[in-house]
Amino acid sequence: MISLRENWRIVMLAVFLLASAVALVGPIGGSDPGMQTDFVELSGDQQEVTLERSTIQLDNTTLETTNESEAIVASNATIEVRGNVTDRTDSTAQVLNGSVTVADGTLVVPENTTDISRARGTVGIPRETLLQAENSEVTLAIERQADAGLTNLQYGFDLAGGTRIRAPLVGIHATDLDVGVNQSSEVNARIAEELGVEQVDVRVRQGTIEVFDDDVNQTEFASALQSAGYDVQTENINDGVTSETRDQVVSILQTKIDRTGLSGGTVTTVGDGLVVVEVPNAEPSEVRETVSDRGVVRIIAAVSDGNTTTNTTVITGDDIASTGQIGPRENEDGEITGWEAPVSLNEQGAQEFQSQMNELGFSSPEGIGNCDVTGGPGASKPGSYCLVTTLDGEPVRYNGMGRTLAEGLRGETWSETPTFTIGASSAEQAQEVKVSLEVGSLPTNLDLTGSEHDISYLQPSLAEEFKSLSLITGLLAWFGVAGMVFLRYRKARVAVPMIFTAIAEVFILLGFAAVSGLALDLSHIAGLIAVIGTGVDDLIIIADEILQQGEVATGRVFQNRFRKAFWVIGAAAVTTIIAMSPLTFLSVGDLFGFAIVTIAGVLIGVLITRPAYGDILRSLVLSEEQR
Amino acid sequence: MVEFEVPEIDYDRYSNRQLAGPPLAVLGVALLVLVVYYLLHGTPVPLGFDFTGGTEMRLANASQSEIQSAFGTPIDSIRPVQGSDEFIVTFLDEGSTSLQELRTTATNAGFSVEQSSTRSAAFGSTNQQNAVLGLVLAFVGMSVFVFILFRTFVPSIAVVLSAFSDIVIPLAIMDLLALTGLFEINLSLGTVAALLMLIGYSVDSDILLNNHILRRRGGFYESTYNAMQTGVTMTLTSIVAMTVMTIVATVLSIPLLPDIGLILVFGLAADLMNTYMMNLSLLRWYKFEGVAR
Repeated sequence: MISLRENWRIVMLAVFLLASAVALVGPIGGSDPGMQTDFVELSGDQQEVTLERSTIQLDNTTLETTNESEAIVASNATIEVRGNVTDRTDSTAQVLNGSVTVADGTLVVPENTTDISRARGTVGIPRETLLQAENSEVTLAIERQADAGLTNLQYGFDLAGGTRIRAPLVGIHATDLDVGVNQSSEVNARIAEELGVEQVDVRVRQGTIEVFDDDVNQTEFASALQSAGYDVQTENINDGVTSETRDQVVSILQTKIDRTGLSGGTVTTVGDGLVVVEVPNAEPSEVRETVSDRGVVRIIAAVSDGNTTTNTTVITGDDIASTGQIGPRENEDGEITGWEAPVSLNEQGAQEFQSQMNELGFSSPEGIGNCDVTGGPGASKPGSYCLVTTLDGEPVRYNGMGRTLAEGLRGETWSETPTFTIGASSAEQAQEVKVSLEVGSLPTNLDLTGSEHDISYLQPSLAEEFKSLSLITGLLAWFGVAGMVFLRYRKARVAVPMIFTAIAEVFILLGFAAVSGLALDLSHIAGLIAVIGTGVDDLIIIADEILQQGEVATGRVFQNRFRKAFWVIGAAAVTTIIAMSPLTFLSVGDLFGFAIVTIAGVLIGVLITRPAYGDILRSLVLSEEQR
Repeated sequence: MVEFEVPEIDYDRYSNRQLAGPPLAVLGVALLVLVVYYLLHGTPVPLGFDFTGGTEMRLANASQSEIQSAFGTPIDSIRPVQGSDEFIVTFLDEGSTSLQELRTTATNAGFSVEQSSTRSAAFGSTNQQNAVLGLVLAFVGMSVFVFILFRTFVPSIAVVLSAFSDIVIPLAIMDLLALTGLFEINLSLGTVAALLMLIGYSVDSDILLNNHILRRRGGFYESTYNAMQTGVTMTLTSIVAMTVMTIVATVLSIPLLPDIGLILVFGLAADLMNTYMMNLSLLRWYKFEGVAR
């Protein structure tokens, strides 16, 4: 009869094994696998895509739906179309329990059909319909709930593939400055002027002033602060941005990545203030654009009298209360002349815009519809009044003042329902403007031109291969160890528990990885295999100590020997932890994860698995009355 | 079935000097190799992409000569990926623009870009400093702990010296392999991890030996034999695990794992020699002569 009290260590091991099994395959919280994007090419005839619980995104595509062959059937799904969907003949998009969202395209609703209804960009299709690509090659980006895989394990860049960018953020800052409570905006303007940068590039907050501009060096910043009356020397200027700014960038960037179809991407920070962006299934160029654009949207009123142009910023991101679905801008003949993102301004923004427009003459008769970028001779009316949409300082669209808007502004009634459409030249730009306004602009961007950065790409299929192959490698290494142990002990009752205790250690460690959400990389796999090695080493110490000096006569002798063995194991464990601990605070690439796995492995071994092996051995070696 | 038994060595036949001589000589040669390599190349060991920066691509559908002719940018090295017909090409150029250009060039030349990375040199040198600092801290921390554990100079320094040699010898082997052009293992983050693991592995068997000899009753040679039986089995088991990992990962062309495995195999083999020759002779001297003083 096995007593629980004597074998509590074995019981504990069993409990941990069970818990790890649950952590690995059970439905635990935080096991949301995220979204995954697959690419499917539709070309030629008879290609059918059937998806469940998915989102289909069609990038820059005109999809024509007729009642012919190629079909996308999405049940319980969302079809998102970036591009145009025209449906002239038949209603053919079938979505059961789902919706068709046209993100930045148009959906021309078929005539004489009630099959597709359109409400605010979302198309509900109650009946069976078919959506298909005709006469064109279409790449479908199919976004769906990622395969949860067999386990809850998360995989890092090495084993998931895609693109990874690591870089610091552009910026320098000075701390411990005495900025009065209400002086922030004043100081901001002053410093920006001294440095010749824009106000968005300076941030004043709680005694800290940051500058986000590549061209400003520490000396310049220090002297700007000095002229503003702060006693700051060049050596007091810190490199990098504050942790608040970094956190903000991380959260905005994460939202931006989620919104721009770079599905499944993650944004994190590592030591030394580096921001790490990992996006599976994306090429470096796509990710680079997203992380290096700040997404500062401004509407500038450009008034020209033919010789000189005066630019006034009239709407910034701060003035926007909400955004609507983007759509095409059409002229009287129904031709698409551009794109727009409808927005609502907040009260203050609306009031300011209204008065500025009236002051600048936009709402006067010569201001209406009179946007001529050249503004010079040849223009139908004197002067030029343009509303320029700028994205990160680059003009993306020139628009004239509309008649209805002008009337509302002049009558000062517009500010009561302050809606405005921001113009853009293309659907992508309109979408970028919209996303930038919704998630806010980045206070600063990733520094991909400067000193410390790396960009890596790994083909997802190759990463997938590494995943299964490293499992094989680990298993074979384990077999090798097992062979060695059998050769040495030749007794199954010593060797078999030893081999299984060693693998139990790895199993519990994987459970730990699943619970903690640690993204496994190749270096972790190496760490796991190393854990098999150190684990077995310590089990050999226990087995030899207990077995080598003749018969184990009593339970007390056993205890004594076990304690002796544990002295060595404990000392070795402490050494390994000491050896690994510098990696937990020094930033050495990806070695942080390796160190954590090794340290956790050692702790699990010393506290759980190795004591349990001692008990197992005792049960096998001692007969009942000897215990 | 093969019988595996740790052989009992008749240590009586060898003097301390005879035992300590070979490991010390090997250590000396290893240090010399590091110095020579440093004089030739400016670094004590060949540095990999992680530490130098630059741009690296793994290309499929390519041949060595095609790669050589395809790129306008100077190529730093072309290494075949073991176990596949792919190549890893490195360039000294770095930065996101060069990465984009090189990728485009590769794609236009009909190669398939399986993997690509660019890393700024400054990032590499930060990594390098931190890695060296990490190794030094780990080593110093380990030494302090060992001294606290044994509280006597000779046994403690024996452990520390043996661990030092265990790290230096694999580095020297890396240099020799690079110098002779046989096989190139560059110092990467993975190999640094392996060196740190080596500290743990190395001290394991040393502590075991010290513990048996200093803290147990029984004769010196009996204790030694007991400790060896356990210790040699331990080290051999680890060598087996790492050898299997190296071979399998090489055949399956998984990166990183072969480098880690190989470094550990070299280090563990060195550890067998250092523990049971150098460390043992120091302990014997301490036990029979040092204590008497």
